[in-house]
Amino acid sequence: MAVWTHIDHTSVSLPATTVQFGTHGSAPISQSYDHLYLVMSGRWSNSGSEPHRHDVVYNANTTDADYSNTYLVTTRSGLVQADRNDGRDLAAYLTTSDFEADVFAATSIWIPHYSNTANYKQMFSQSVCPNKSDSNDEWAVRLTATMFHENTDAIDEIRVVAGGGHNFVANSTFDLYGITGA
Amino acid sequence: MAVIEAIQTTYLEADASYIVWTSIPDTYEHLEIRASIQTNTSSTSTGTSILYLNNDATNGNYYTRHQLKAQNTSATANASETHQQTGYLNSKVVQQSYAALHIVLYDYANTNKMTTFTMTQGAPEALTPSLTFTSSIWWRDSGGYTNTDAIDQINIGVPGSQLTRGSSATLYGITG
Repeated sequence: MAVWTHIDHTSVSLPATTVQFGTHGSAPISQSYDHLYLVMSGRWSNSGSEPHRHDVVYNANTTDADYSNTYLVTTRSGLVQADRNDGRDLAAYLTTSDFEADVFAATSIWIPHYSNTANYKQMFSQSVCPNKSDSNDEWAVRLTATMFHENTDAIDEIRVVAGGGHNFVANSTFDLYGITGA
Repeated sequence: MAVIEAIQTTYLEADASYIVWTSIPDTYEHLEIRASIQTNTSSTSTGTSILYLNNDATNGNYYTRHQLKAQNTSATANASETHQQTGYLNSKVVQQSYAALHIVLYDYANTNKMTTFTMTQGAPEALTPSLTFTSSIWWRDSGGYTNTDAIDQINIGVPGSQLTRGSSATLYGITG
């Protein structure tokens, strides 16, 4: 069996508010892997001079209190911040329509042991929001550790939401991989 | 087709200005580079490497850099809209010491977007020990300021110095 399996690919051809992998309970993401790896390259349809944080929702749970995040982030030269907060929008960025044209944010999220039912699920994300700018708050670099602790259910749905009633623009791409162990 | 394929591995048998990969196919969704690199500077400071795309190796001015950095006991950040760097490398002053480098180029063949890439670098036990996580875009080629070219060549090098014998790097393609 291959170690890596490409589960699904979505390339947005028209503006879309949501990209979804699996449906909680009824059409779940396959539970036959050891880990999941989500890779995104995205841009937001709305304006804004600052990087836009978008939602990553597991098992259709939109309760921010069930997402605990510890992160290291910078949006300014000379300033690094470390913090801990609840929320489903603290792991991934999108560039906005005010950013340099044709520039997309990039995010990768590891979800180890997503199918076990004994423990809460942890995620590790690397997200960057590049821009042709070195001005304060017009770019971002972020590392986030997330604990999804609604319950110990396996992760069977991942929903990526642009947010604010706006869309992912065309050419935003989303890939979900499954990784097996020995 | 495997999801991850090793496209090419380069092991330097002698000091060289660059590790170079050409004719990179556009059939993957993302590219990854995993490298173990040392610079041949003999000064007490370590070199800073650059990732040049599509043979744009004559000028490092057309990239951005947004970086989280730990250096010795300090944490800091820096930004540039004109200069890129992957982070510090180990130097040959400590002969057995090489830096680790992991680079991801997202959706590199899509000609509707500039290529965004991230670089994670670690130079432990170097003369300037450091750890960096950096994002970058290549925003200009010779033809204009909005560069959405697909990436078909990658050079890794250190301006004003060379990579030492024993440096090695592998380019992987990840399907989508």
